Amino acid sequence: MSEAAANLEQKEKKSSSSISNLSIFVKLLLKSKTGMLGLIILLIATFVAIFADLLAPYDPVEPHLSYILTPPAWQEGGTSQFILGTDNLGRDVLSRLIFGTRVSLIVGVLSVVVAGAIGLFFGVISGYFGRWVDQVMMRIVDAFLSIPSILFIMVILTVFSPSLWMLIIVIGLTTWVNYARIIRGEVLSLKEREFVKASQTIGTSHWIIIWRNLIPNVMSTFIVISTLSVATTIILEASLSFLGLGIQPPDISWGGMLNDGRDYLATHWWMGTFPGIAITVTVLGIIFLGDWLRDVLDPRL
Amino acid sequence: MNLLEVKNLHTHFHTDRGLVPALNGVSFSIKKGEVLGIVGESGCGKSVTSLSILQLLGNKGKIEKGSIQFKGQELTTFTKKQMRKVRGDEISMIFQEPLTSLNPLIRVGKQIAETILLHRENYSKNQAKEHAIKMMKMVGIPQAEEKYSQYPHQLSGGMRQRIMIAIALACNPDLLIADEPTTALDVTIQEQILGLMKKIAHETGTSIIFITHDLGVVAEMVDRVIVMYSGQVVEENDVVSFFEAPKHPYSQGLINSTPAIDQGQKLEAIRGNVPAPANKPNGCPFHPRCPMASDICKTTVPKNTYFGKQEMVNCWLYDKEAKTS
Amino acid sequence: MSKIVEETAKEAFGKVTDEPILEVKNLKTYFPISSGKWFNKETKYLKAVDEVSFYVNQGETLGIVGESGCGKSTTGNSIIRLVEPTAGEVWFKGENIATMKSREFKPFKKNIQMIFQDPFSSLNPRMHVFDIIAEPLRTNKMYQGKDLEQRVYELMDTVGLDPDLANRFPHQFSGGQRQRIGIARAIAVKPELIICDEPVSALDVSIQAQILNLLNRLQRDLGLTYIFIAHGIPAVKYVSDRIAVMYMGEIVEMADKDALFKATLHPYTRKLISAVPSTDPKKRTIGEEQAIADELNQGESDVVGCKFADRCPLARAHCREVRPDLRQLRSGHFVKCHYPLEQEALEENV
Repeated sequence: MSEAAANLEQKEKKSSSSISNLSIFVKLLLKSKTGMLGLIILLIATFVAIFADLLAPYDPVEPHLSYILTPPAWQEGGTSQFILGTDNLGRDVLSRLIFGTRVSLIVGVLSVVVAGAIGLFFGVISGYFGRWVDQVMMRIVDAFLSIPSILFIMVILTVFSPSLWMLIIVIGLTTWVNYARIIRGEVLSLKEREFVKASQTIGTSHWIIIWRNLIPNVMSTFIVISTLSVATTIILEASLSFLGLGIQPPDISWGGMLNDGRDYLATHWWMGTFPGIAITVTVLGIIFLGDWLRDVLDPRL
Repeated sequence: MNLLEVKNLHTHFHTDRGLVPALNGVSFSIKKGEVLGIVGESGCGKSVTSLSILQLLGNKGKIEKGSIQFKGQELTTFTKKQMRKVRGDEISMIFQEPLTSLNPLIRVGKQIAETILLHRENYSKNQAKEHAIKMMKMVGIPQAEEKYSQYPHQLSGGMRQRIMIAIALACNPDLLIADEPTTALDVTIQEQILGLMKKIAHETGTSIIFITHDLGVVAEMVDRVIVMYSGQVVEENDVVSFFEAPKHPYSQGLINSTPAIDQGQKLEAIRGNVPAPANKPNGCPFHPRCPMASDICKTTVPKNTYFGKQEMVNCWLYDKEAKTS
Repeated sequence: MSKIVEETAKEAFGKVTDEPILEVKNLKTYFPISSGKWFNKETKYLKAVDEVSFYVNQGETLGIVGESGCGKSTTGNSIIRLVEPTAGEVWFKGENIATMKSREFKPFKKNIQMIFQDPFSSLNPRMHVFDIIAEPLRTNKMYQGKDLEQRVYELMDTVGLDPDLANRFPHQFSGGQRQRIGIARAIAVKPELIICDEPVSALDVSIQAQILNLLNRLQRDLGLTYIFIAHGIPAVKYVSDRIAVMYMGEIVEMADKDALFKATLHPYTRKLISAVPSTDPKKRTIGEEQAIADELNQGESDVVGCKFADRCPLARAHCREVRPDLRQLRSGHFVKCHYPLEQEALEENV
């Protein structure tokens, strides 16, 4: 009789849940205006970064000496040749902005990858094994937390010469602790869940439990923190470049452009304002997307 | 006159994933001094019924149709401000989990006194405190004066539920809604709380709506039972006839599938699953699980059949017209 | 005197036990609770399981009942070593599995499985049902490829699930179906003993009976032995052959089901049984408010005498001074009380 009952259960189920997860995902994305906006901004930024060579009207480092400090096209004295104007060396602001997208996104994404990998490893291991492993690993995290990160980065970057890769590694090394702490907390509660215990009673090895039970279940949290920290890293990179410790000329970054524009802010506002807007818009877009992801990924799915 | 009369109540929830009809035409009434039991499983709408009465449905739930008459007043037309006056004063509620329904940062006695001050403007702070201590003694809290200034976490689960009851009774309500008040408690503590609620019903004459899934608690506590299934009342009966001769196949199934302490019969499970409110079957909502379902059950919702004033069943088996045709 | 009683209890164990598949002796599981002082820390212990001894015969169901915090779940977890016992012995088929190294214990894990309470947290939400049920088979390398598939489908069928649903995720199932998945996972490796930790208390009333009947059927068909841990006394009564009652980390009474209910010996057991509301409205048992005894204090206190003495209506001075031992009063009926109920009745008559 219970077979019959079960069959019946299944029939009920079959009709109800045949919609795939992906389509729900898309539907929810279409419903959220901010999430959609975030995604569009990020997609545009990525597109621009990839096709910078094709999109930029000029070589971003090429000085147009006769057009030094030309205002944007719509202002008096502006020319349609340089839509967003030129800087103090006569370089096209628009082209520099387009190429700057590359650096910002690369630094943003790759240092998050570095930080995320270290943080995930630390968090999962110390949360799952607990006891002295946890003690040791969390003290290391505390040590990292107690150093002012900007100071740490400045010291490293003055000792080693600042390059793109150095920047990525250094930013990654200072931000991983956030991941470690949050993931550890998540793992602490996950490992008390009964499905982890069920695996233990079967005799599943620790590494398989970590791989199959823990990591997939912290993934949603991980994705959300990662997205949001792409935003903070972009700002961090901009601040470092602004301080002159980031990307070195002739490479272009938004922070560097801000730095260049600082002295001209009162007289030639476009030099600093456009990179500023670019940073703000990109970061906002990523935060919108991250917030939306948090809403969607949190319940289960 | 009935203290509370709910007629043809439809409550729907508008969620991100679509409309969820939680209640589809619920009607029942409760007299002064009566203890009414609402029995049902998860998702049957028993809690939504109580939240509809108090209009605590949040911003997604809405009463679409129907009336709730309380002491001759129509509650569905009340403004938020009017409802706030009713809640905690004339109708109050006890929830399942006493730890989460008490504010952890406020002393328990003060939480009782605050309820009193909220609804009794002529009380001074000292009077409220005195009254709170009186309530604590009434619900059987030993050393009430000392316990007055303790925090919720310092009390045991049973004591916390007593505090909840004291808060609910502080303004001497006409109607007390108890939503699974003992489900989170151990059986020996449950015994004490049920005993206390019996005493309250006896001494104060407060009408009580007792919402539970535990048939033992029903048999122990209530005068009259309504059984809910999938947002509808499927049977209404006085408690003795309900257990002796349940009419609706679902009621029969519930009783037969509940292990009893004093009987050793084999359990007969109801097949299938409790339907989610969002995807209810056509016709009688119970028909996919009903051992006696016939063709008409699959297509048409049955009408209520009444036996005298007290008994009602919503099932085609008892519908005379259906039988003759 | 207590020594002697202990001896007799031990002897008795030897006699009654026909074919015990599991024998637990003086099991202790303590959790350290650090006291508030910074220096001069003295560690106190929460005695979750305190000198628990019992046995389970092949093919029977031993029910363990008690209120929250009485240590019944910790007992189950200690047997299967989800928590490491502090002391004591757990004999499973002639081997003491409590003191084994975890590597030696591994092959035994296959023989002892567990069914958990919460069907919503006991299944990994990111795994397909197929993989959930296949996990124990893969871990123990019992089946591969086509055979594995075959076995998983067969298991789903056994517990009353449609094998077509193997590619769904747990959240697409109802509570009762999820519990069936959990049961399929537990029986996958053909265990001999299954510890059921509150397997129905999170389910709807009408679903509970389905699961209880399924467990009964599987026991019959597969020759399983169960330890059924629950706080719902009627459900325990329904499935168990013998029942152990726990109070504050100790077994206070253990007997055949009928003897436990009809000839109750321990005052706590009597209190527990009488507190369960009857499903007959004409036999209402709960009186209007009785005297309140304060509730249990989680086993922290260092009571010298009987742990139930403070709440016991029949406690005498002796009870507060000397801890009673678990002794056998009738064949197979054990009690931890100086003045068991029936004896007391006898004494009063005299």
